[in-house]
Amino acid sequence: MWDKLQAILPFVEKPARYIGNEINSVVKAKEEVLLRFALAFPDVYEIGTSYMGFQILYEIINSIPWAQAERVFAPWPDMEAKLREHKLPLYGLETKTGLKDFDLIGFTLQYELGYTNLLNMLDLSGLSPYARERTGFPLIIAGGPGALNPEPLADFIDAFVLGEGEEIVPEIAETVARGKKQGWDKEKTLKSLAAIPGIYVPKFYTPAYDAQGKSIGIQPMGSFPPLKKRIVRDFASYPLPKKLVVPLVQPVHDRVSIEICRGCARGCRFCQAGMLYRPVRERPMEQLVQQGKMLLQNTGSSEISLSSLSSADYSKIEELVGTLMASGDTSVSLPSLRVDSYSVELARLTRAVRKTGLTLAPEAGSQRLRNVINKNVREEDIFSAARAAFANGWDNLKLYFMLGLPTETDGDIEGIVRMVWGLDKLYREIRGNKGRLRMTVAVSTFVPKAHTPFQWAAFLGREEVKRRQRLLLEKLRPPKFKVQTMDWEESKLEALLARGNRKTGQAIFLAWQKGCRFDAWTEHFRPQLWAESFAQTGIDVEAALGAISLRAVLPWEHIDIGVSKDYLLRELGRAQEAAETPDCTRDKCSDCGVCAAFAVTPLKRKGKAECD
Amino acid sequence: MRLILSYAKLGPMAFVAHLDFQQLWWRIFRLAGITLEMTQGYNPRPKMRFASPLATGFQGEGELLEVFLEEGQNVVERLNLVMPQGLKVLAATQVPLAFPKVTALVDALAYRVKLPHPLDSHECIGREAGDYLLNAKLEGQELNLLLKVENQRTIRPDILAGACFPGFDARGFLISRTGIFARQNEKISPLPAGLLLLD
Ligand code: SF4
Repeated sequence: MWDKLQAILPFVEKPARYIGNEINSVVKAKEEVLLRFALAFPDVYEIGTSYMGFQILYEIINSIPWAQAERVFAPWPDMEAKLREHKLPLYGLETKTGLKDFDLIGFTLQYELGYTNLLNMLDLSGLSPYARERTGFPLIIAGGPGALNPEPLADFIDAFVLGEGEEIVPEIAETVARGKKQGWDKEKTLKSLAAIPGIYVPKFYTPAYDAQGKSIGIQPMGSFPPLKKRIVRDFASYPLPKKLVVPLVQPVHDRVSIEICRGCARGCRFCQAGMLYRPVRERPMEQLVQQGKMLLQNTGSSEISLSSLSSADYSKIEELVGTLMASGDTSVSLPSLRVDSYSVELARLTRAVRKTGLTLAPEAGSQRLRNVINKNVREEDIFSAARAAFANGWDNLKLYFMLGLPTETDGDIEGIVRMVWGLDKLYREIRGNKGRLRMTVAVSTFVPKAHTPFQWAAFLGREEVKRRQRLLLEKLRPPKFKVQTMDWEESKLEALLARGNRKTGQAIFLAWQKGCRFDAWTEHFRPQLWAESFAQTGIDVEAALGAISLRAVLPWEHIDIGVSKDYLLRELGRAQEAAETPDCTRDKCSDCGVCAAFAVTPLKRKGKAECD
Repeated sequence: MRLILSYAKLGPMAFVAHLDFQQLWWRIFRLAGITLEMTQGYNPRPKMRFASPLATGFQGEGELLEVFLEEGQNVVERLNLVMPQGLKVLAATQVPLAFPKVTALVDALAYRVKLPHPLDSHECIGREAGDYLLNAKLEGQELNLLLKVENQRTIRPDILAGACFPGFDARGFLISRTGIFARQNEKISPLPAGLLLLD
């Protein structure tokens, strides 16, 4: 295989994406390997290699003596063309084995706009994208947030893995290996997998309808455990990986990332991660310090990124940052900061943020709208955060907002303008005539997501989004301000896929067939082909983007993430009253149901969050 | 302490682009626990110099790299312990601080090009290379070239070989750099292991 690759790699951009051979990658001798397990990321190498979830699973699978985990990423279109021209299959980077010869291919579904890449990767492996047309092995499985609304990919995936992978992935590997030794066929293996809690095998389920022909959801054809996501209850007993594969095409930042806590209890009503990853669990500080140092040693990096959905919320964050930095040559970065002065002070400690600038996400321009979305941030928090930043010498500020949130009016958008001008004025007050503030205002478009309180909300139409974007663009002009807006068409596709059903899969297939790839990359995104594909399947796109009736059975209703529908409805009601719901780690439990569902003791953090 | 390392970059590693390759070396030193001296200034970088950057896709059988270290016990062994497959340090030579820059030592580069099919003569090379061609040798499908470097300028072996194969995409040649050459010069003392001399 290498000889053949050597002949095509000179003709592609960044050939190091396709060679494997990285520091800390694992290659086992063929005789030792009973089970070959591909971890497949449906995007390009540089994106996929920075995804920590796969680094964890890579180590877990490779720690099983008879299993070999290999990685595979979506080949860039130039490489795809070469593979097809030379009739070479897509292969695992470690041993260059064609994917067809694996036992399992596990995709992670981190964002919807990677779905055509997934189909393309199957096709490039010589496998049919349709599960029903693949009679043997490898089995195609998929996990990650997208697996919690699995229906759009249900025709393509043999088994979905619901929730966190640490515990369940070895169970899958063992089941498939047992089957292999005993000569099970695909059907028998899938039956055994379906018996594992947290595995959804769509072919054993069917969309059901009532007498009037109305959908009553996806029903099992047989008896299987409930489709409930898996979590690791004892978070600390699943340590961080000891080593990380170090990519050979350098990502923008050379750092190791350690997950300090999982889950977020702030309860932003638009945020899918905030619902999917509940309950909140923290790793003990000693473990983080010890393992963080080991990781630096084993990867040759000098920067640690403390990853979590909200790093400043970690109970001992100051102590953790201090201890890690005490060793001298280590720098620390905090990727997801809250909007308050405490977070800025914390960032100041870390040096690393210094060069890059400060990023804050108020999400909405008025207090009313921030209450609607439950972003518990006050105007004072934003200004005190900025004050701390400016006083400490920051000249680079990036603010994130969302347009098209439920109940948004022009007044809320004017609120963004006022806030930005106010921050500019504050900078002048603090810095006088010295320095020049560079402010970037990044505005995305609200996309309703499954399993959130806003899952029933409408996605705003093109003209209205454009008009609201213009309101901002006209009042926040360069060179003083830089406004970055999201392409509406891309958000629209995201909305269609994020709330899609089984029928949506047909549109994904058609779009792939017509040539759609790398939809998350503006230069490759082809909305026209998508529009044709949806039209061909007869999906009413307008209706699919509109508000969903509270009485409707949702396409993801059969998947239980532990957060109750009742809570989501309550939260939607509170949104309509612009009422806030507090962070349950610092205030009272809002009864989302997840702690009871997994029999965990709710995490309590000391004190109130700065911004409450 | 100033060291000139001789190393090989083979197989898949040939496809690591120069900038990524430089970062990989920084990392290899950190992994080996060897501290590189840093440059002064706002954005300090490890002091490291490649004799001649290798084009992406070319293998290197005897490349040279100059580094400044705080200490240098068993450097070769320690580096080889953490090297990814395809990279290997062959030798290390300590040179005085007054030694010429490794980039200034390069007077010629030798390459081996695998040709798509055998050639009868290498005349086509001569015409294209002009003064830069010091030596060319044909052996079946293998073309060995010695190319002059002057004022850090030279000519690419793939482009030269391309002159004999009109219509062939020059990127498709399999090329190894087989050696880095210097002219005899009393300043080159000691002679770093891996640096070859023109006769
Ligand atoms: S059940 Fe209560 S304490 Fe547990 S995550 Fe939900 S709101 Fe928080």
